[in-house]
Amino acid sequence: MNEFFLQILTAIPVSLRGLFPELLIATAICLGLILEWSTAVQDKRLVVWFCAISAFAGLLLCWVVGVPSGVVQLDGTFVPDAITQFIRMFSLGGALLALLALNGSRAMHGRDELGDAALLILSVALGAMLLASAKHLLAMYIGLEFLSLSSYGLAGFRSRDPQASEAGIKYVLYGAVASAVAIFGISHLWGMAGTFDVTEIGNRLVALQTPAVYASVALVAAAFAFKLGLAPFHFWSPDVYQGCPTVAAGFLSTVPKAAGFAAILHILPDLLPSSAAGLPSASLVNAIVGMAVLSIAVGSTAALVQKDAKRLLAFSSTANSGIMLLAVSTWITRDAVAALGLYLLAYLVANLGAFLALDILSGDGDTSLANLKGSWKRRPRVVVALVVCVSSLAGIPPLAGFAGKWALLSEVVRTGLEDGFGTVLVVGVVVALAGSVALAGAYLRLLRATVVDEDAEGSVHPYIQPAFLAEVPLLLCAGASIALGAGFPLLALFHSCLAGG
Amino acid sequence: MDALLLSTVIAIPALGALASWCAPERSDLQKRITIGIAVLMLVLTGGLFWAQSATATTGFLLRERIPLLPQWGVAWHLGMDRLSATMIFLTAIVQFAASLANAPKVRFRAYHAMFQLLFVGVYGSFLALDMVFFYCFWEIMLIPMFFLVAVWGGDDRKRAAVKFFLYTMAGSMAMLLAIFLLNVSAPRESVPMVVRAEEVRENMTTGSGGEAILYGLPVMTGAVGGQQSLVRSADIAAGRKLPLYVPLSRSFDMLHWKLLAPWWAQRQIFGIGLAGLCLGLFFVAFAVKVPSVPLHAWLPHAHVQAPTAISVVLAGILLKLGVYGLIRVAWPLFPGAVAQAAWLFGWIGAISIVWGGLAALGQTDLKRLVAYSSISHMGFCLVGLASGTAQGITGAMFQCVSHGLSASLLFLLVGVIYERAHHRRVDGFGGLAQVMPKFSALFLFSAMVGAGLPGLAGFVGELGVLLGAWSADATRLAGFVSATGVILSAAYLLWMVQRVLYGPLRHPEQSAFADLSRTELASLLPLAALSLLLGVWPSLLQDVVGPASASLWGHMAWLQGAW
Repeated sequence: MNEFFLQILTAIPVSLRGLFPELLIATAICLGLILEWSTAVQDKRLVVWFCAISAFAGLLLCWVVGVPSGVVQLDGTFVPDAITQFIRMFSLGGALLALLALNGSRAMHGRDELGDAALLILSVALGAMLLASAKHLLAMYIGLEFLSLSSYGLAGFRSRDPQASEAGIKYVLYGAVASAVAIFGISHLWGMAGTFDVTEIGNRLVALQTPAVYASVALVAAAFAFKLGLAPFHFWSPDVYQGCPTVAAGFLSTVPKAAGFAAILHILPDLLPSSAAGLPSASLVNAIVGMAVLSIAVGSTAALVQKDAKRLLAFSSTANSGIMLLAVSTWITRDAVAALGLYLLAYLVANLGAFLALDILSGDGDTSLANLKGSWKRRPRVVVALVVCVSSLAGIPPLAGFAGKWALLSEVVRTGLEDGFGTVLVVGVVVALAGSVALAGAYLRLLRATVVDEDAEGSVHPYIQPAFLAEVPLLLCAGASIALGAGFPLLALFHSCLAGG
Repeated sequence: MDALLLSTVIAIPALGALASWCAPERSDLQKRITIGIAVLMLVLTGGLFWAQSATATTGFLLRERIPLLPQWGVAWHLGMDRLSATMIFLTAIVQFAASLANAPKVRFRAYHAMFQLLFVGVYGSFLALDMVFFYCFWEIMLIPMFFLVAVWGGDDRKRAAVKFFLYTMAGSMAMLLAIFLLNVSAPRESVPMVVRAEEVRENMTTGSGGEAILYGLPVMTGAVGGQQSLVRSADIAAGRKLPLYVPLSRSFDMLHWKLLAPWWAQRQIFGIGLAGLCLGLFFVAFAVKVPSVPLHAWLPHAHVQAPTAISVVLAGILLKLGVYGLIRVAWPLFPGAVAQAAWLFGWIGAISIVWGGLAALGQTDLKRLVAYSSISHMGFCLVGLASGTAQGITGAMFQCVSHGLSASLLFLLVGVIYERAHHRRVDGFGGLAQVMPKFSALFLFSAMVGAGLPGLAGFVGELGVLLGAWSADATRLAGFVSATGVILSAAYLLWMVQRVLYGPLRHPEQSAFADLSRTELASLLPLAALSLLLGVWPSLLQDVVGPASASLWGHMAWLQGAW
C-alpha cells in the first residue's frame, strides 16, 4: 500500500509533490461535480458517500506522506509544514464527520441540494488546506477566497428557504467587504515591499516601522478577524449559523476557524516588523490581547441571553476564538502552537458534536431552546452525547475542552511571566477564566432545555424514525471528547513535529 | 496488595455509576446498587480509617504515585493521611445515610448514576495529591450536582442549580489561575530546599541502597553548591541532627509544593507577593465551598431546592471539601501569608457565624433554617484554622465531622416531615411530639448536637476552635465574637424545635402522620449514635486528627521561625 502511494508520488513533478493531498481533493471535487450532475434526486447520497470516501482517502494520504518538510512549492507560494499537515488532517477529519452527519441528517433527507452541500463541504476543506500552507500574500488571498466562497455557498444553498438565503446574503456581503479590505492591505504591503513573498516582505519592512505598515497589516488582520468571528467583526456569525443547515453550521464554526489560525501562525511572525531582540513591540501584543479580551467579553455575555441554540453556540464560538487568540499573543511560542492545536482539536469534536446533536434533536431544523425542551425523553442517547460535548466545551475535566484550555492558558501565563510580556497576558487569562464562567452559564441554558425541562404545554413532537447511521458521527465526536481529555501527550507530538518542520 | 487500594476507593463509585446507568430501569435495582456501593465504601473506608488510627505515624499511611506526564510533572498521586482517612470515612457514613433516604420516583436510573458520579469527585478530591487531579475531581462534582438539583429538586430548582454551578465554577477558575501561577513560578531546575527533620522522619521511605526518600525525592545534606551527599534513612530515624535538603523542581505535586513553601514566600509577581496572591485565589475557591460570607448566597437556595439525599450530601460532605482544601493546600503552602492574614480569616469566619446565625433566626422554611445554620457552623472551622494553633486546627477538623453528622441528621429529619406534610414551613407544624415520638426525640437530639450541647459531638469541635482562637493574638477578638454563635445556634435551633414539636397539635390532619419507618431509623440512628459517641468519648477522633493538626502546626511554625 505504502509502496503504491510512493510510486504515484514520485510520478508527480517535484514542485507539486508537497501538495499531493490538495491535488487529490481537487480531483475528487471535479469528479464529484460530474457525479452530482449525473445522479437523480433520490440518489444524491451517492455523492455524499463519494465525498466522504475522498476525504477519508485524503486523510490516509496525509498519514502516509507524513509531515511535509517545509519544502517550497510552486516558486515559494506554498510552503507546507507541520501546521499545514495538522490543518489538512483536521479539515479532512472534520469534513468526514460532517459528511457522515449530512448523510443521516433528517433536515437534508431527500433534498436535491444534498449533493451540492457535500461538494461544498469538501471544497471548504480544500480552501482551508490551501490557506494553511500559503507563504505568499496572493496565494493566501486565493486560499481565503476559496474558503470563503465555498462557505457562502454552504450557508445559503437551501435556496428555497428564506432564512438560509438571508444567511447566505449576509455572509456574502460581510465577506466581500472583509476580502476587499484584505486585498487593499495586501496592495499596500506590495507597494511598500515590492514583493508578495511573506518572508521577504518581513525582511524589507524591518527597517521601515511606519504607521503605514501597521495600518496595512491591520487591514489584512481585519479580514482574518472576520473569518475567525472575532469581535468586533463577529456580527455575521449568529445570523449565518442560525440560517444555515445545522450540520453545515457545525462545520463552518470549526474548520475555517482552524485554517484562519493556521494562516496567522504561518504568516504573522514573518510578516510583522520585529524589534532587534526578535520580540514584538508591546503595543502589538496589547492590540492582540485587547481583541481577544473584547471577543471573550462580548461572546460570553451575548451567549448568556440567546434563545436559540445555534445563536448561543455562535456567540460562544466568538468567545472561544478570543481564547485561542491568546495563543497568538504569546508571540507564537512552540508550546503555544502545540496547545492551540490541542484546543482546536477539542473544539472541533465538542462543537461539531454539539451541532450534530442539535441537528438530530431539532428534527425539522428549529433549534430554539423552547423547541428543544424535553429532548431527553425522545432521544436519551443523543442527549447524553450532547451533555458530553457541551461539558467539554465548558471545560469540565476530564474532557477534551479542559485539556485544551489547561494547555493553552497555562502556556499563556508562562509566557506572560517568563518571557517578559508582563501583565497584559495574565490579564488576558483572567478575562478568559471569567469568560469561561459566563460561557458555562450559557451552556447550562442549553443543557437545561435539553436535559432538565419537560416538554412545553401542548407541543407536538411527531416521532421521527432515526436515519441509518445518523448518530455515528455524533457518537464519534462525543467519544473523542472523552478520549482527548487524556490528550496531553499530543502536545509532545505536536511539539516534536513543529521542531522537525 | 495495598498498591492500588486508594484508586479502588475512587473506582468503586465510578463502577457503581456505570452499573446504575447500564442496569434496567427498575427502582429497587438501582436503589440496591446505590445502597450496596455505600455499604462497600463504609467497610472499605472504615478499614482504612481504623488502619490509619492504629499507626503511630502522622504521615501518609498509603500513597500511590504513577508518573503520567513526566515532562510536565503530572502524576496520578493519591495519598491517605489522618485527615484524608477521617474525611473519606465521614463521606462513606453520609453516603450510606443519603442512599437510604427516599430517592426520586422519576428518571431514577439517571438519578442513581449521577449520585454515584458525585462521590467519584468527592473521594477523589479527598485523596488526590496532584494538583491537576485534585482540580479534575473538584470539577467533576459540578455536572452531577447540577443535574441532581436541577432535575430532581423543588419548584425553583433550575435557578438554584445554575446559581450553585456558577458560584462554584467562579471559585474553581480562581483556583485554576493560582495553579497556573504556582506552576510557572516553581523553580525550573531542581533547587535544594531545606526541609523539616520531623517531616522527613514521618514520611520518608527507604530506597534500595538504604538512602532516605521523601515524596519520591532523595534527601540530601549540604547546601547549594557545597558538598551534597545522600542521607541514609537509618541516620534520620536515629535522630541525627543535620540540615536536610530535597531537590525540587517544577511539578504539580501538592507535597512538593508544600516543601517549596519558602520559595513561594520569596517570589514576587507584578510587585506583589506570590504567596499572598495565590493564597487569596485559593481562599476564594475554597470559601465558596465552605461557604463563607460573602460567598455563601448559593447555599440556602441550593439546599432548599435539592432533594433530601442531595441536601444531606451537600451539607454533610461538600462543604467539608472547602475546609479540607484550606487545610491541605492553602495553609501548608503559604504559612507566612496565612499568619499575616489570620485576623482577616478569623473575622470572615466570625462574621459567617453571626450572619448565618442571625439569618437562621429569621427563616420560616425549615431547610433554609438548617442551611443558614450550616453557614454559621462552618464559620467555626474557618476561625479555628485562622488561629493557626494546633488546638484550633484540631477543633476545625473535629467541627467538620460533627457538623457532617448533625447537618445530615437535621436534613434527613426535615426530609421525613416534608414527605408527610409536603411543605417545610415552620409555622405549618406544631405539636408533632404527640404524634411522632421517635421523630421528636431524634429531632431534639439533632438540634442539641447542632447547638453544641456538652456531651455531644458539636460541643467538642466548637470548644476546641474557641480555645484555639482565644490563645492566638490575631484571632482573639474574632474568637469572642464567634462565641456568640453558640448562643445564637441554641436560640434558633431550640426555637425551631419548640415551634415544630411542642404545644398543641395545630394542624389536626397531622395527627395521621406515621412515625419513623425502619429505613428512616436505619439512616438516622448511626449518625445519632456517632454524635453521642464522639461527644462522650472525643478522644476517639481527637487522637486521630490531633497529630495531623500538630504536624501542620509544626510545619507552619517551623517555616515562620526559619524564614
